[in-house]
Amino acid sequence: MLLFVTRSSVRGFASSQRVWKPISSTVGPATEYLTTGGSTQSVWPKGFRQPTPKTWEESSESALSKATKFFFLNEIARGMYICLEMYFRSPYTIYYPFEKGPISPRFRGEHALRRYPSGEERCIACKLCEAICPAQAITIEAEERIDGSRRTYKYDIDMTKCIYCGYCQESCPVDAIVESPNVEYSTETREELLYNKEKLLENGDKWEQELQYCIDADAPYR
Amino acid sequence: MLMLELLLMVLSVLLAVAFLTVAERKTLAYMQRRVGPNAVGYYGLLMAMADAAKLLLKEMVMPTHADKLMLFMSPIMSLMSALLCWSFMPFAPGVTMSDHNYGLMFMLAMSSVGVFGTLLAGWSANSKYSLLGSMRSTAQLISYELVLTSMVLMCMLLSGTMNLSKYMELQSSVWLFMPLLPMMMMWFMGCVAECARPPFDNVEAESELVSGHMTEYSSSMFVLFFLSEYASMLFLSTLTAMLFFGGGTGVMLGMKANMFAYTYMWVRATLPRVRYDKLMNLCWMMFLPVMFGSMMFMPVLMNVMDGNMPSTM
Repeated sequence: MLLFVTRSSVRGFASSQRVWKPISSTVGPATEYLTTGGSTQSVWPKGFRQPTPKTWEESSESALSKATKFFFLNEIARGMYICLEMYFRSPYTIYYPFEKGPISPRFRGEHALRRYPSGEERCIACKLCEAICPAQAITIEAEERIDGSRRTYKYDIDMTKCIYCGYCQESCPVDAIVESPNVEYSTETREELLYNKEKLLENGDKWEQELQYCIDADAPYR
Repeated sequence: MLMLELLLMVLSVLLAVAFLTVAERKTLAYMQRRVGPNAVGYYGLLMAMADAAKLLLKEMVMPTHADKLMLFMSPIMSLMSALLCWSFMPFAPGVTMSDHNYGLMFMLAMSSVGVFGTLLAGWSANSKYSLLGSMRSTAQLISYELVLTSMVLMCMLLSGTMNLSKYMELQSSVWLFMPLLPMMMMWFMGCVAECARPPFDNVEAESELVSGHMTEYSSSMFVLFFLSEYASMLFLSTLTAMLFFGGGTGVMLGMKANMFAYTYMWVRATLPRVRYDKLMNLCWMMFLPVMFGSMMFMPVLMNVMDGNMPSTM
């Protein structure tokens, strides 16, 4: 029993101390190219770390060999070979306006005000977003509507102030204000970036499908 | 007629330089796994024209209290020296502007004149950055010119002629890079330094210093400097092909020269910039002593290449 406890504690100590292990001792050929998978405890890919270069005492390389390598520009030649290899590989470029990279469902882009399926706007003018906004980009004025419900008559977001932190989206109790995955809304004038309620609702109508996809994709983590 | 020939040659060189800039940008891009300019013309081929148009249409900023005449003259001197070097180049056996017996000497002289452009550009702009930059680059260019000159002298010794057409014919038996291999590598490194190309681009170290003697230049005057830099780069790669790789006829020579021009970009993509004192040490402490040492070895080499092997003597 005592032995078992000691062993496990030793193993725990060892595994926490040695973040990376020599590949030969821990993994077989099958898991040679195991990625770290986001964990610091797993094995780094092969060739991730080069061995520390040997000092003149440790290396058994002859002076002739060293001189040969020096005069034939060995290191430079190797570096140039790598460059040449890269030259013949395909570039990583994404042709942006025609191709786009993947984005997360949590991506925080242009703002939108959503509606219920009935067409009724969601926002109930609780002003939580206005309160939490660290850049103070949101301005809300509210009053009682004719049917007695509490609604905004002014919902402005200064997109030039906004820092896209997503707090408004997090704070909203009715999922009214959201940040859509859209980032392509550049304008030619500053005034066009001062969004009012009409613009935000229009965004919501335009992006509703996308927003729903994003919310569905993110739902398991909430 | 001569003027027409000259015009044709200068135009072809300038056109080659224009496309060399695109080639460089594309090459560097692909070595960094990018695509580089690809929107202007097919595969970005017309990027050179767009760049030239942009630079020429820009405002020319004239520094106050600058020596205007010298400020205008220095880029012209640089470009003229880079272009006139080409006039003795045999593009094929017998196809040359001037088949002169001292062609190689003229080339050396012309490439040395280019240093004046650099020096005067720094002096005339009335800016301390320009002046310091020109001091820096002048020291580098003069030092590495010694390497090139002594290498050319060695080639002259070995071939026994300063006429480049004859020099080319002499290489029909053996390309001179074979007997001169280590020196040829030094020559190429010297060429890279002489053109102030990375990794020896301390003249215009974009990321650390202002752009050297070209600091106060803008628009068309800057274009002239730019053209002269690339023209001399093309010239030196052609000269490398000529001196060590047997020259060639037309397209063949062009292909050989392009290989070296490509190597300039390849080296640029690979190596980081060397420190300035290391650059100077490399020239004065390593290249030149080895050059002079091997020059003493030249008579032996000449004897051997004449067929006078010790056993047959």
